[in-house]
Amino acid sequence: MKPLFTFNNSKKAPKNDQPDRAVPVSRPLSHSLEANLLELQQGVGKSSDVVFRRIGQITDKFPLALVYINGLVNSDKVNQAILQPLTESTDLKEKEMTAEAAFNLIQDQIVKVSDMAELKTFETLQASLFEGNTVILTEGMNRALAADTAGWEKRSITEPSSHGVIRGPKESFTEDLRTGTALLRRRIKSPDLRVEEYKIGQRTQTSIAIVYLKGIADEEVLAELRRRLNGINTDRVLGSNYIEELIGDGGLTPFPTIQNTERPDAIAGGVLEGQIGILIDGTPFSLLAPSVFFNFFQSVEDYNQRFDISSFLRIIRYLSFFVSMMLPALYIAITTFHQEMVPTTLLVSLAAQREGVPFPALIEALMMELTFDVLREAGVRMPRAIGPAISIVGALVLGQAAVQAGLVSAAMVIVVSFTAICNFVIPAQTMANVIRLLRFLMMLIAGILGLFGIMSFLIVLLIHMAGLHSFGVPYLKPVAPMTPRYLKDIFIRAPHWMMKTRPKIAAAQETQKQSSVPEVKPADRSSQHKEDDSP
Amino acid sequence: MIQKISTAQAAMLVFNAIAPTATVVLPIILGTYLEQDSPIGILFSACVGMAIAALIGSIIKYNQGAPFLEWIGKRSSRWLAVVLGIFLLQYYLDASAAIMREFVNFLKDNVLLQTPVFVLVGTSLLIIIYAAHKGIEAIARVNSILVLLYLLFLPSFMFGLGDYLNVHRLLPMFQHSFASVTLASLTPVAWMSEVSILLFLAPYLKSPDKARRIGWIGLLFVTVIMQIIMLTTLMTFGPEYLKSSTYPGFVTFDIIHFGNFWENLNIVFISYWILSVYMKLAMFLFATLECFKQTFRVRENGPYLIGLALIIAAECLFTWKQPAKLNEFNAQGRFPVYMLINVLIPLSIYLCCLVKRTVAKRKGQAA
Repeated sequence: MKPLFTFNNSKKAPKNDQPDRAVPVSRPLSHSLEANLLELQQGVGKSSDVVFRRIGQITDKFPLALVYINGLVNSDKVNQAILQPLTESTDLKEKEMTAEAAFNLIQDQIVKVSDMAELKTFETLQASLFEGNTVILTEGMNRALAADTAGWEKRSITEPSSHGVIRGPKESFTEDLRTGTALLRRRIKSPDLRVEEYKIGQRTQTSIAIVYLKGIADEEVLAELRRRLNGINTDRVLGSNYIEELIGDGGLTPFPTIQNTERPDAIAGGVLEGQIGILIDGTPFSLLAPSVFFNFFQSVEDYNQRFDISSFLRIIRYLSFFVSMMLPALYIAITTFHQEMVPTTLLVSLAAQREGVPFPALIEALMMELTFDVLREAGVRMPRAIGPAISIVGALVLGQAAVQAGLVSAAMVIVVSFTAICNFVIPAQTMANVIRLLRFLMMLIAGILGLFGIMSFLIVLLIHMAGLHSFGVPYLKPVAPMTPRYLKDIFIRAPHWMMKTRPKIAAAQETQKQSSVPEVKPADRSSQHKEDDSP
Repeated sequence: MIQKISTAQAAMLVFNAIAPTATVVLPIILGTYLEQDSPIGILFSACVGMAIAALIGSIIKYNQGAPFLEWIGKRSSRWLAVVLGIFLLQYYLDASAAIMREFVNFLKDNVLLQTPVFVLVGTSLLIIIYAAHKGIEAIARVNSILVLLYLLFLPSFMFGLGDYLNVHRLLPMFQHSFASVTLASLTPVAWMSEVSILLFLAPYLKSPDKARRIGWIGLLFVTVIMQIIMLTTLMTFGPEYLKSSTYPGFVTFDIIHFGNFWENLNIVFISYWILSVYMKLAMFLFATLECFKQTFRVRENGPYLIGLALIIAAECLFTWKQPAKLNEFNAQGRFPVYMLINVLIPLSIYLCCLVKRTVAKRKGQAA
């Protein structure tokens, strides 16, 4: 079926809708050093951070020039590994030396940098400069050398700020892509771990790496991801959400179809389950695809503590999801339309509280919810020093004063507060935000049509989610369509020794996570350890 | 890519194509004729339903899950397929309108007493249009979640009624004649014949050769649920109440309470029932659209889907305005119409196929 609305994302962007391109058609380098330098200077303009360093006089047989961008390179490395060897080399001054031989000599012997590349066009040369490389241009050669001297200031690895855990690794990704891939390599020491890199954004040329396990990740999903990444036609990628929105499924759906996290163990876990990690240079937040609805209720903490408490917490999360989405709406529906559901004593108590309130339950709830969202947004933006003060004013003073002034009932304050707390239980912020939005719609419809409205809204949501896919994987999988053996890690978290196979994603083969033959039960395992320990 | 549904999903679709309205309407119809023998009526109608499911399944197996009317057109004549298609389209439009009216009447009587009917119809219409637009895969997925929720509701229902059940209210058994059982079972049989919706779901089945099994499993579930509701209602209130209440099944829900803190739980069950009816309506709208597309050989969905839904809404609002008229149709008119469309026409087609196959075999042997 064709979608009702089509979202004009990059995958389907018409060809005439190209952003203006900064990079013109490919231009080859000249044999003249001066011409190359002039062209390059014209290309980058009068940028004060671009350094042009000549070595030797113009009358020399092989004058050279180094070009690099100050701040993007490690100055010590440039001085010690390139500049010093070049200036001290006597071989370059031999009379029989040809330009080709000099070029090879610089590449193979003189420059002490491990990662060297040859460049033939101005475009690759410019791109190489922006990567933090030092470009070496020589007279008489229409090729240049790029030495990897990247060394800009980087933030060190810190504890994740958005996904904290009690028992688990305390590392998070940084803004540096290479640090991210290294953190993953440290966790998955397998030759099957593949890292494919893309440059996306005509002006930002942001590096993006997709990380997957060969033989575990589904080839169809991989192909689709590559197609979508290659189809992106934008001039900028400044964060993970740019990519998430440009390659995500569902058009205008509020539901996320790609997970984001700053935890390397979460990405590693996903990759080991057959998902594909997407790391983006310049942001500590990485993406995981395909992601289904139930992935957003799983936390890395679940796997770092015992299965029983993890299962309990997961059930709490699902309950919180429903409470967070529906509690204010149910309160409105019951107090407005279905009072007969409430026991008489409770009904009398609620009626007494609402006696002086001048607004209908819907308006009362909307006011309180909006106030809470204002406070929450203020809490995020305000300076940290005054945060607690605002929280006290918002939560205590405003709430208490509103009840005493008779603007809202005490029961409504309890409902809104509990709803807000439940919202924080959901581990994925993207999913929690969806619920925030849906809650308002549900409250409105509950105020108009009561429980019938709530049920109608729920069925619309269910149908919507049932029709959603993430890279070809049904969004409600493995519940609808139902695959009972994959439910071990959905509503509960079964013990690790029970989860022997990884869930089959799309058309991929179901693969073994743990050996099933011979089956080793926990009791047997402990006795096995004792035997191993014995001398 | 054509959407596909599994055998289990299809069986659940059959279940929800019958159960939601059957649980509301049938207890009173059966109770009027059979009183405490009503469960026998359900069993009798289930047996006939199984036979109808076998017939429908055989046709689907025979045509290998091909679109029904296109297959008829190829096997006989295009015009026959068009005429048959118009008949079926009329049936599906009528059936959908009747279901919607039953739904709206129930809401008006029990849930939203002040809300105008057109608001309820309009809301329902928008939802089923959206569901049918999303396709049978999405409908089947949501439907399977709802059916699985029975696992949650049934135990709490039985637990809640535990104190009120009195087996003696089922006695004396077998007091009614076979003629009464047959008479009482006519309307339930008409309901069971709705299994024929499989004819229009067939192109979307992953295994069309299992269509018979799909029908049987779906009907078995319907029978079990109907028996539970009928038996609990009888054991709670007795046969006399069954005849006097408009919605006896739901009144049973009404008396369930947990402790002193949660009472009048019928609204919870009604909420669940609302979701089930949406699924049924979505399925029927989808089948109506399929019938329309196959009859008039159109490929587009959008405009026709909205058009057909509006016809259903108009029929629901104006043809079945009087509840008494709808009840009369359910009691008397439904059986002949449903038998003609869901049983006699498929049976004729199946017999024709058998005859053709036998003739072809004989010709082959002679050659």
